[in-house]
Parts: sequence; structure tokens; C-alpha cells
Amino acid sequence: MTGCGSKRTTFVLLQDPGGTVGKISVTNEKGTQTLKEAGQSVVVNSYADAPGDVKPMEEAKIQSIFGKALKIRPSEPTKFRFYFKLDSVELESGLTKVLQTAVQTARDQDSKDISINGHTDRSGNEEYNYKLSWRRAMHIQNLLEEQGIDPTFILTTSHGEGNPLVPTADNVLEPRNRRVEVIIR
Amino acid sequence: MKRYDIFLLLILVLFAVPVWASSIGSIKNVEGQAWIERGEEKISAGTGVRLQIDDILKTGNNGAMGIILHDDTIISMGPRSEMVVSEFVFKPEDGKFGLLAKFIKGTFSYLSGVMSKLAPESVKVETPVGMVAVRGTNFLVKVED
Repeated sequence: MTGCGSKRTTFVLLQDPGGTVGKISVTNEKGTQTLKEAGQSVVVNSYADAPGDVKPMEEAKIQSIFGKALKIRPSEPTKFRFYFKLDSVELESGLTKVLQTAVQTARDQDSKDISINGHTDRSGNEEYNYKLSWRRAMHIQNLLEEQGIDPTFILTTSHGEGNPLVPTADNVLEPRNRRVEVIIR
Repeated sequence: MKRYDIFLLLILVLFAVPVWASSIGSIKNVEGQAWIERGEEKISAGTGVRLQIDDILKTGNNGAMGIILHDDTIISMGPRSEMVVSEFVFKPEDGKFGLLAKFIKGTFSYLSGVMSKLAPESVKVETPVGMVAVRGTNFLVKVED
């Protein structure tokens, strides 16, 4: 190990991209401090010091300290949903355009990390549904590959009925859960 | 095929997991010097490079790098920075979650992903001066040398 600095650390809370503001709490053995308004900051001198007072940090200072990290920050991933007919790998109608948009987005963003996650509703048994959602996901993967997306960029998973968009009781038909989600990062 | 060959083939099939099987996310943006230390290996950072648990991410004097984890948590780092993701479990289908990011030195931005919405108590950021509990949000950290 090199360096014998105090590791003094500064924390700043920002607004979420959606416009809301979350919160963070910084805790060590000497205390806790919570930030809950955008632009608030707290400095902690070391692990052996209690967190300092909450103070506003002006935008210019935020940019001068964090500008490079903020500039390189990736955009949020783009998500697409494809819905399927009951107990089938056949897409609901009208989704060709969504597929085209997804392919174009992957190209525009030069994406090399695409997730394809297959899901089912809770009609039928769990094991069968796991296989069904895998087939649905593979169907979408094949369509993307046909459009020229490099398969080495794709990670395909099957979630079966365990990760519903709309929670339901078992054996309930729910079209919104018969889906494949494509996440383009 | 000789029996020995069949045995070897079986071993290959059993252990030939795809390269991304243990991936927890990937690098999206890179500028200047940036690299990953994975055990003895030093991997040059580039778009699409898949990340694994315990990879040490580092940037040089003019470097910067941005990554996206599988739950869509977005982390970026400025120059002379170092971090590790030492825990990452994202299995919504089984209700299993866990994320521990360690910011060791430098400047960072952190934007919460899906895990913070589904299981906020399972997300932690560690710094040399204390732990950060994250409640669905967007924040910055600077750790001085």
C-alpha cells in the first residue's frame, strides 16, 4: 500500500434523471449523515471522524470536481418489450416496427451489450414455463441476428413465470406477462 | 473416437461455459488510460468488455470510464480512480439480490439500477470513510488519496 492520506471523502446527491430525488446515508462507527435534497453534500474526513454537516454544493464546483466522471457516464439503457400469444412463441401482431426500432437503436448506440430476457404468465407449470420463456427469448435472439446483430454481444436468459411484469396468483392468464424484454446498453 | 477422446470431450462440454456466464456487466465508455486488473491479468478497457466480480477497475492521469451492470446500475469514474464490484447477485426470478461496490480512490458518479428499486437494502457502496446506503438515486463521490 502507498499513500498515507486521510482518504477524506466528499459525497454529493443529485436529482434522478426522472426528476425525483432519492437519498443516501453515509455511516461509519462515529455516526450517520443523510442527504435528501439535490445538490447537498457532506464531507467525511476519515473513518475515525463523524460525517460533517450537510452543505449545498454549487453546480460550478460539482462540474470542476466531477466533470470528467459525469461526461463519461453512459446513458441509461433502452428497453423494448415483445408480447406473445398464449402458450406460443408467436409474437402478437404489430411488433415488427418495435423490432426495427430495437435493431436501429442497437446500431445507433453501437451497443455491445444486449440482454434478452424471456418471461411467461403463471398459467401452466413452472418447469414448462421456464422452457417456454427460453424459446420465446431465443426467437427474439434469432430475429435480432437475422437483422445483423452480432450474437457475441447478446446475453439471453429465461425467467419463466418468476419475474412477472404484473403479479398474479398461480394459473392466471395475463397477456402482459407473456413477454420478452430486450435491454440495449 | 477413442474412449480417452470421448472423456476429454465430455470434460470440455461440461466446463465450456460461455465467456459471459459470470459477467456482471460491461464497459460502455472509455477515454484515455483505463484498464481492468483481473488476478495477474491486465485487460485494456474497451466498449463491450464484460466485467466479472472482483475486477479492479482503474484509470490513469487522463483516463475515465463508464460501466453498466446487469441490473442497469450505471457507474462512471474520472481520472486516477480505482474501484471494485465485490458482490453482485441479480436474480429477480428467485428474489435474490446483492450489490457491493467499493470506491477506493478518485471521482465517481453512481446511478441506481433495478436492484435499488426491487431491494434497496441489498445495495451498498463502500468507501474508505464509511458505508453508503442507497435509496434509489443518483450521487457523486470523491475519495482523496
